[in-house]
Amino acid sequence: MQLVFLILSALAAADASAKILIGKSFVTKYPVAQRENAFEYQIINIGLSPALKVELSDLKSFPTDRFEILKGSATASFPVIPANSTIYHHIVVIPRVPQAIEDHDVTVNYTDSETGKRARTSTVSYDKRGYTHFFAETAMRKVEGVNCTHFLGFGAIAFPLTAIPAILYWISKRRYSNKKQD
Amino acid sequence: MKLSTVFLLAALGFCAVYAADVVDGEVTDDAPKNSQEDDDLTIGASPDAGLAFHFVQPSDANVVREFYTGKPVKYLIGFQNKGEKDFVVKYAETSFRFPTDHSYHLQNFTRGEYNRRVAPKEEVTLDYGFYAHETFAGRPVGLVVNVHYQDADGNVFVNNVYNQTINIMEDDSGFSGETGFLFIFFVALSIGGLYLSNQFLSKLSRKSGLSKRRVVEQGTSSEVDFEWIPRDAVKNKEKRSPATVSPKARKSAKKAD
Repeated sequence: MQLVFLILSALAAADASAKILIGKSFVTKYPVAQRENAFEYQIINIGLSPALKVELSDLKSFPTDRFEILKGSATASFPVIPANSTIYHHIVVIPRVPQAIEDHDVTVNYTDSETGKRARTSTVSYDKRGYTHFFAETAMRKVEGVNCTHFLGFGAIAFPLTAIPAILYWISKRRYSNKKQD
Repeated sequence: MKLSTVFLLAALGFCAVYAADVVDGEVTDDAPKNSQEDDDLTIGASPDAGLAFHFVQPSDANVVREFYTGKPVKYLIGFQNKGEKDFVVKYAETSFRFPTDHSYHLQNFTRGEYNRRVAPKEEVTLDYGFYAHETFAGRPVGLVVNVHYQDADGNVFVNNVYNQTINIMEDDSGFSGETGFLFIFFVALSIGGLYLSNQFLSKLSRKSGLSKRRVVEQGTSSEVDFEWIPRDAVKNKEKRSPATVSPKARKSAKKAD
């Protein structure tokens, strides 16, 4: 019986360490320069024990000469992340010029509460192919929002189709209507 | 045995011999291909690599195992190098499989190329995302995610990080154009049907004379009915001749006198 308990405790201890996963996602609809762009970081502890002294760093992604950090910070620290829980961190940046920024790793250092070991993890994304493109505002004006040219074009199409039948009706009514003569 | 029969048999035998030849007179054999496929299946995981899997979007997919069509599905794969040599994470392949037979592929998603070097005692998080097509709505599928990596010695490893049956649900949260236009179509059909039925019924009633109760004439009175004559004409007549009595009436009045 004691042997069984020892084996079970050994198996339980083998998977009881903290395990951190990092996710980074772009929250704003379009990446546009000289506008607010928000990023969200998800720090997920999928392990069975809490993670201590968690420090997030993404300084390389937002160099100060190219970005203005409006809200939040590229670094964050959390004293503890409980097991099977997620912590979210946000940052809002304004790119100073339209540019393509190379994606850098987001690193998280944490201490496993069970073993006391310090671990480091970083994130890799495949879909951006290594770059995030921040577009110019003039390019985005054609994508989003209404323009006076839209109304002019609609008017150029709709006005003849409406005015011509109205004029024909008015001519016909004027010519053929019976006026009452008292 | 006739000579023609011998020649025929020889020709048949000649054809039978050369039918099996494909290239350079050698019979091809598919056995090497099958063994190569078997080798791929026998590639396993490395004991120095620790992998973890976690759904990020939808957030309850880790418990409920349901996706919605048209909405992004994102997950994270944690790769931990527990050994003393470098690992290179090459790519992750995601696919939908038949739920009762995972060897039958329904859809293969684009390979997630990482080519990321992981140093000893280092961890890396890989992310990937895909959309479930609406053709899979309302059916269970098997989701299989494999991570391919190799160590510093060039040994290739494959680790299956996810292999479960999930349900693909149809997203009916937003306005469906199909449903909207179907509703408009049925409304138009019903209005058209009412109009046609009204036309048909009115024709039927006219034929059978049941539509209106007509007034039966009782005969005209001796007096002239001035209602249908315009007022202008009546006034003009009164102005022109004071005699408003009809010639017949005048004759009868004269006889009475």
